[in-house]
Formats: sequence, structure tokens, C-alpha cells
Amino acid sequence: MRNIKIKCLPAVLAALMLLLAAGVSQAATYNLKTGTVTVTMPDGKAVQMWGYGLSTGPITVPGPTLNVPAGENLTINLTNNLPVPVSIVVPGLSLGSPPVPVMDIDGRVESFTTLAAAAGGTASYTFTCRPGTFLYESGADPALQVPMGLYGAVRVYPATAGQAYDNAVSAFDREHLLVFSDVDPTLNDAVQAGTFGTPVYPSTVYYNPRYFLVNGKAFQAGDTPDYIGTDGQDVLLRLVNAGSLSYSPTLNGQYMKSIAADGFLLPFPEENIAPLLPAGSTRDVMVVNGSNGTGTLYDRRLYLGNGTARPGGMMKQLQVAGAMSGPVNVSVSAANGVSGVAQQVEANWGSPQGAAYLKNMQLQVGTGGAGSIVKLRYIRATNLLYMMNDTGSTWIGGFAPGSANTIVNSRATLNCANTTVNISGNNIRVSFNLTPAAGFTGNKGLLMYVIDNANVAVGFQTKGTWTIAAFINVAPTNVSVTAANGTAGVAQQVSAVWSDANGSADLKNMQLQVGTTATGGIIKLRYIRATNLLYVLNDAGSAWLGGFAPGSANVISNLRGSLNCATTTVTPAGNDLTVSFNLTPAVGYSGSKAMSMYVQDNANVAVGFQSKGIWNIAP
Amino acid sequence: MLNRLKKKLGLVVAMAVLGVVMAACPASAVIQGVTGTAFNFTAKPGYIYGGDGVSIYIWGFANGTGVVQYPGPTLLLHEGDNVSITLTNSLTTNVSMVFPGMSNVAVTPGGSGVPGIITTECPPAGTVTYTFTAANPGTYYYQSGTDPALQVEMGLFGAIVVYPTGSFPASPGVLSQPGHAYNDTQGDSAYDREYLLIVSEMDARIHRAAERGIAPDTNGFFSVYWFYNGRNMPDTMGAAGDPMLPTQPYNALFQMHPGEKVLYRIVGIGRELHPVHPHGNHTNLIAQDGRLLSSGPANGADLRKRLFTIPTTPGGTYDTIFEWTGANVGWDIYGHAPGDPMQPNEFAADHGKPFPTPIPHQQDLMPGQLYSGSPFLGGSGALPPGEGGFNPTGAYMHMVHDHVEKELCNDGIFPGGAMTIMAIEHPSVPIP
Repeated sequence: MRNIKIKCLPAVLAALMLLLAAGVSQAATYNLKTGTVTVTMPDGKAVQMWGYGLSTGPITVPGPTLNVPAGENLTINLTNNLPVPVSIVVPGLSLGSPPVPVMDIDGRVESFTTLAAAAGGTASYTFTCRPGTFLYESGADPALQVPMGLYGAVRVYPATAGQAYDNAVSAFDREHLLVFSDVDPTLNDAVQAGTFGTPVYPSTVYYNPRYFLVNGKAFQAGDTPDYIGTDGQDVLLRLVNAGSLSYSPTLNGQYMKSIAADGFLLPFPEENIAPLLPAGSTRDVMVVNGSNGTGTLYDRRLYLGNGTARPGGMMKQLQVAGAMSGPVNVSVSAANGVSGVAQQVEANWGSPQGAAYLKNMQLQVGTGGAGSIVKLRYIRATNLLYMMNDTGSTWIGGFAPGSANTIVNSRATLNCANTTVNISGNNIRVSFNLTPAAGFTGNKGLLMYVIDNANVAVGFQTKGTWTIAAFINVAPTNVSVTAANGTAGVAQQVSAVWSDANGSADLKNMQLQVGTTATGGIIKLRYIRATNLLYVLNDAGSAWLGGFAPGSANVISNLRGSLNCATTTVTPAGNDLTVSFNLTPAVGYSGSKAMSMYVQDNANVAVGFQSKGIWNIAP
Repeated sequence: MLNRLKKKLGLVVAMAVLGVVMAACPASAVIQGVTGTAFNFTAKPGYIYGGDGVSIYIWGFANGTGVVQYPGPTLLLHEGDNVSITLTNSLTTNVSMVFPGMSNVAVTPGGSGVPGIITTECPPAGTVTYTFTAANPGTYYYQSGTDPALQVEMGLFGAIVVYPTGSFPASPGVLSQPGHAYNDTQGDSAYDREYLLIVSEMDARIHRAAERGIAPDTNGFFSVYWFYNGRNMPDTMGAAGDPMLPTQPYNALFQMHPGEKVLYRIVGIGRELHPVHPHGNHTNLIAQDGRLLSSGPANGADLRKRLFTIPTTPGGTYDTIFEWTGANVGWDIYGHAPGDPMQPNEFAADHGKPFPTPIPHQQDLMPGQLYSGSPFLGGSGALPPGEGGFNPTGAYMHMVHDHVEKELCNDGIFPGGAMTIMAIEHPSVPIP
């Protein structure tokens, strides 16, 4: 249908394209960007590469794998952050409209399709999809841009789940993507230094790769094997060659059943030991997992060095689960808590392969449906914290431990700033700073989940209980205020203490008044705990002046006195909070001054001004 | 037709320049190798000769305590054999063996094996026994599974031929006998003769570095020698077991009679792609990697490919069947008169057709040493004094060579490299 339409007259075509665009009910849409990323090779050589990344994620080589569900097309919205124009092509998948090559001023092809301009340009591409394994790469100056790292893989799925194509020969229990590529560090260095195209590195004719990568990684002894399932499973290996040489992957000499090449099923499968994977091609092969534990996949063209060091290069160990010990939900603990009050909940996960083998750790507080639990997640590789939203439909947050962020749903607040992660040996300990919301009370089960790099998961196991009492608000108290005898015009510390049985964090607004209107006027000071700011009431009594943090180099004055924020300190301790104001009575403001205190808590329960002491100020 | 003659004469001239002593070759039309089910191999260093006479340091496998050889001993096995190879390591680095395509590969406990990245390795002075089942007939290979970028390059590899039940040569290494390579019932894998063609290459710098104990740069691989069965042309055409080439016992000289099915068992053991190009006819590629090219278990080699260049890839094996009868040359290759009896497998349509051009007088020719003095198969004729004489049986010499033409050199000098001859003999000439 589409081919016929594309043959129509241009005007009709344009209209049809609009119709088509409207008619495509779904398109898998990826917002990609380009940029640079420094990849350190196993021998320590740092190579600055160009790569693709999700707009919200890091630049990687290879770029993110683009997965396209059955019946959908692929739309890529590209933002180019590189200093050269780039584009994207997917050999084997056609653009919705015929690509228009971009010519340079000499009439030479600069790009096979629309360019995204250098340094911030954008372009959008929609590819008509069919099931298969494909390579995406830059279509602009590919001799340079592809070796620099601008490539990735596309997986288009058929309607039948668990298959790679619309044919049962492609049925798999598990799939594993392997992207092969190569790096000439001298080229990357020259591009980075601006000497590409000079006698230092005149052209890509001199491309001489020294590093050989599988999934962006040159082999190094001791690498963690990739997990490819359990004994006896049928595993689909999607082989993609994004490199500039042809390779021959072999899996420890066992047969691979080649079922497809370049995104089309072969008429009949072939049994291969080391199938040739030409540059720019893809091949789908099936293997059956034995029970041998680890099998080594390597390039039979023997590009197995990192520079001059071996072993290395295009080698990847693949592990079958039967031979491996999975991750462990070790323990979780939390002291009895109170709703509305932040508390640390400590969870500990482990893996016999080492802490770096842990991938995704989750802690669930409470049991029942999505509406009655709090679910927390920590992803090791990205070092990010998440919380499940109220309806259990998506993870929210994505902030690093220690970052000034909170993640909130209607049952709890996770304070990332006070959440710590300790990675040591085989264990990762996460101390979540969690505040149960009002109403999230009672005996809550603490359930742990973990999945490791091999995607071996241990489902939610109850590992503890957290008793959360309902929050009962207690009125705050004005405890005391003290000041030594002072002198007008001379700075002095005035120390006030407030308290709240619900904890000092329940204190909201604390005020100290010096003097009365009847005895020469007042100096009124205020401290707001949540924002950690100090204020002085203006002379008219109509507004608060200042709003500066304790310790900041600010002075707040009215006619009767000055508060020096720099030397004013705030000290919470248990239920108490002490503010030591550094106050200078103005010259002329002297005599015996009454001091009274005010406090209000988070529940807006206030205790009005109570006289708590006398400050004698000499003239 | 004239073209063909000219081409042929051109080849003859070229061969003459090469100075190949064909007549002196006790050509062994067989696959040489070792038989049995329990083998003792030793990995050890040694030297081979390049086709230009240069001496190259290698590591290789020896049968028992014998001479190291390049390639290692070819294993001639029966389908279903349970095979053990006890490897003794006389190198100064770990070594191992892998057997791609074999079943039940295992290491016998109790040896001195240590874990390696790919397989169990044998440390220096150690001994490890590998076992496997030759479950399926076909053409296979073994190689080192330790640091293969260096050790395969150095020569630690060899071929494995697994014969189907009932097709094992009665006298292996002595006669080439009819057989079938696979268990198809259609006869697609049937052959009258079989030859092994192990394709490898060398970067001499890596070998010199290894010899001097310098770390070689395998990523910078750049080959300068290309081998058939461990020899460069012209040594490919020398005798098997030539005492002048003690560590390269296998030759690559092929002979056939017109109409015979000749099975080439090609093993791509190196790390480059070396398209193998037999002159004279297309071949039928019937199997790859020890598996018939078949749409199903009962369908024979129905997916076979007609190829005149077999795209040999690293770590792959290719079984291809070559036939030649002189079909469609347009004249009678035997020089028959129309009433003469037919030769076996003669192309009937050309029977009795005259040679299409006057045969030049010998004084108008610059014959090579392989010109018998006659354009007819099995024929001979007067030659200028001192010329020719290297083709006493009047065979047709068809080159078999690596189609990457630069690989027909020995370290940059043509001719050499991965090149040899298929000698098509008159039916009356016995082939061992």
C-alpha cells in the first residue's frame, strides 16, 4: 500500500503523507541526542568518542537500543550536540518518505538523509518497521562518524511474543544483543585535538583499529560474564556489526543456528561455528544453553587484543544460570516510627559476585495493593533512587542519594539528601530516610527484592516489620531565654530555647520579643525552621525584614537594634532547638527589657508570647 | 576455444618459470593423517620453510613425541568415535585444545589442567587429556583455545575428518577411495576422491617476535605468507612427507580423472578470508562447518551452491565437490577421430570434434615445463631440446588458488602463496 502511494504525484503524495502520518496509530518514539563520552579502555587509554544517548540519559557507545513493538514505526527525534552535523539511518528500514541526500557545496553527498545541524540542531526521522535486528548509525560522513561511535541497535518485534520474526523458528526463551565495533584511538585523539584532516591523521583511509569491542567494552580478564538464561533454554543472540571490519563470532566452538541475516529470515536455518558477520550487517542466531556454566564468545578473526595487550578485544563470556549463585536479600531494619516523622530504614543486599553485580534493589513497606504500600528502588549502575507512584504505575524520582531532592507520594516522602548508600565487598546497604505520611500507620511488613546484572531476581521476601505509630501532636513550648547584662551599642548573644515533644523538626515558627511598646519599643526576632531563615520586625510593626540564614553575612536592623546573622547560631538537639541571636541594642535603647517567647509547630498549634526573662541593658 | 588454448599455454609457460618438478612428485592423492581413538600430542616449538626458503619459527602440535608439524596431525575419525587426546606441553606458555563442532568435549580429571578463559589449559611441562565424541561426519578442525590471537597464528591447529559409518578409507594415507562425506541417501556427498585444503596465513613479524621473546602485536596483524596445508607454492606441489620439509609433511597436489567427483575439504583455520578458486569448473558446495547444506534431515544437500570461488572464512569449514569432463570446450580433448570409442565420462557432444586451430609448430612455441608437447589429454609430442618434460602423462594442469591475488606471493614475491595444481589425468593414468 505504502509503496504504491509513494509513487503518486508530489502534490498528492504530500497529502497522502499527511494522511499516512495520521494513519500510523502508533510509533515508538525515541528522543535521542548526540554528544561526546570518554571511554577508558582496559589498558587505561582514555578515548573520547561520539555517541548517541536518550535525551534524558547519558551518551553511550553503542547508543541506546531502540525497541519497537509490533505494528509500530520508529520515530527518532534527534538533538545534535556535536560540533559537526549528523543524521541517522537504519540500513534495512526505509524512511517514511524517500530520503533526500544532503549535498555539500561541491555536490558531494554529505549525508544520506536530513541533517541535524551542528551544536544544537534537531531533526526527526520516522522509519517504516518490520520485525528484525538492525543497526542504526550516522548517515553523515559515516567513514568518520561511525568509527567515532555513532551507532546502536534496533530491535523490531513481531506480534507474537517470544519470537524475533513472524515464524516459530525464531522462538526464544531469552534474547541477548551483542554489538561488535572497533576503535582507532588515534582517530579519536585527532578529532578531539582538531588535527583530523591534517598530516597528523589525514583521512579515514588510515583507519587502523586497535580496540575491538562487544557492547562497547573490550574484554578484560575478570570481566563479569553476561547472563544468557538457564540450562536448556533457547537463546536468541542478535549479532550486530557496527564496526569497520568483518568479524566471525564463535561461541566456544558450539554450533549457532543462523536464522536471519540483515533483518530477514533465511529460507532455511544454517548451522554455523563461526558465521561471518560483515561490517554493517546483522545476524540472528539461536543457541541452546548447555549446563557448562560459562561459555566464551570470541571473534574467530582473532581481534583479541587491547592495543598490544592480551587477552582482550572482541571476547565476552556468557553465563548460564545453573552454575551461578543469585543475589540475596540480606536484611532490613527500622526502629519504631511515627507517621510524619522522618526515620532511617536500613536495607542490606548482597551478591556472591560482588556488590557491583547487584543491579536493582527494591524495598516495599506494607503489603496489599498498590494503593496501600510504599515501594522504594535503588539502581546501582546509575546511583539513583526512586519511589513508586500512588497507583503503582510508574517509578517517580530518579535522584542520587545525598542530592537535595525529595520524592513524594500520598503515603510517604523519601528524602534523598539524608539517604545514604554504602557499597562494600559483596553488599550494598541503603539507609532510606523515609517519612510516613499521616494515616500510613500500623505494623508494616518490610519486603525486599533484588535483581543482579545477570537478571537473576529474588522476588519480594518479608525480611522485617516496621511499626509506625499515628502522629499525636503535642503543643510546643517556650522553654527559656537568657542574656547577660548588656550595653547599648554593644553586640551580645541572646539565647532562646524552644521545644516540641514531637521532635525539634516539628517546630515551625519561633519568635523572641525584647521590650514592650510601653517601655521604649520592641525588637522582635523570628526564626523559621523549615527555611532556616532569620527575620526582624520593622519599626512600623507591619513587615518582617531580612530573611537570611544563620551564618550568612547579613545584618538586619530596625531603629532599636541589629541582628547579626553571621554570628547567630541554630542548634537542634532532640526535642529542643536553641537559637543564639547575636543582637546589638541601638544606642539609646537601654533599661530593663522584658523578653517574651512565641512558638508554633507544624500543626499550627501556637503558644503565644510568654515572658521568660529580663535583659538589663546599660546606656 | 583459441582463448582457452592460449590460456592453457600461458599457464604452462608460467608453470615452466616456476620450475616445478612435477614428474618427480610421487603425488599422494590421499588425505594424510593419524587414525585411532586415543592420541598423544605434544605442543612444541619448531621451524618451517616459507616458499621462498625463509625459515619461520612456529609453535605446533606433534604426534606423540615426533616432529612438530604445521598444521598439526590431521585426525581421521569414524563417526561416533569417543576420542581422547592427551596433550603434553613442551612450550613455555600455557596451551590448550578446542574442538569446534565436536560433542561432549570434556577434560579428564587428574591432569595438570588449569582454568583458562576459553577452556582448560595445560601449563608448561604439564599434561591434560581432552575427550570428545565425533558424533557427526564432516570436516572439522582443532586449535589452541589459549590466547588464540597468538597461538593459532603460531601454528597450533589441525584438521579433523569424521567419516560416516561405512565410508572410512580402508587404507588411510595410502589411497584415495570413493566414499561419501555425509549420511545423505541422495548421493549428494558421494565422491571418488577427496583432498584436504587447510588455509592459513602468517605475519612473519609475529613469529620473529615470539622467537625472540618480544611481545607480539597481534592486533597489528599483517600477513605476508599464505598456506595450503602448511606449505606455500611451489612447495604445495611437492611430495607429501618430503624430507626437505620435515615439519610440513602435508602437500596439496591434487589429481583426478575426467568425470570424477573430487571432494575438497576446505578448512579456514587462519584469521583472514581466503576465497578458494579452483580453475576449470564450478564446484558444488554441499556442506559448511560439518553440516550438509540441507532444508531438512531427509533432503540431502538440496541447498548446495554452485560456486567457482568458495568464500572460506576464519573458523569455518567448506566441503565442495569438483567435477571436470571437458564439457563444452568445443573439441575432443582426447583427439579422437569420429569413429573412435568413447573414453569414460567423455563429453559426447564433442566426440570427434577436431582441435579448432592449427597446432603451432614446436619451434613457434615457448613451452613451459608442464607442456607435454600435445594439447590433448594424456597426449605427448616432440618438444624443443631441453624444454618441458615435467608432464610425462599429458595431464591438464588446473590451478587451484586463493582468489585474493596478492596472496599468491611469498613475502611480496610472485609467484607463491596459497596456490597449487589440480592435475587432470588421462583415464589410463593410474592415480595412487
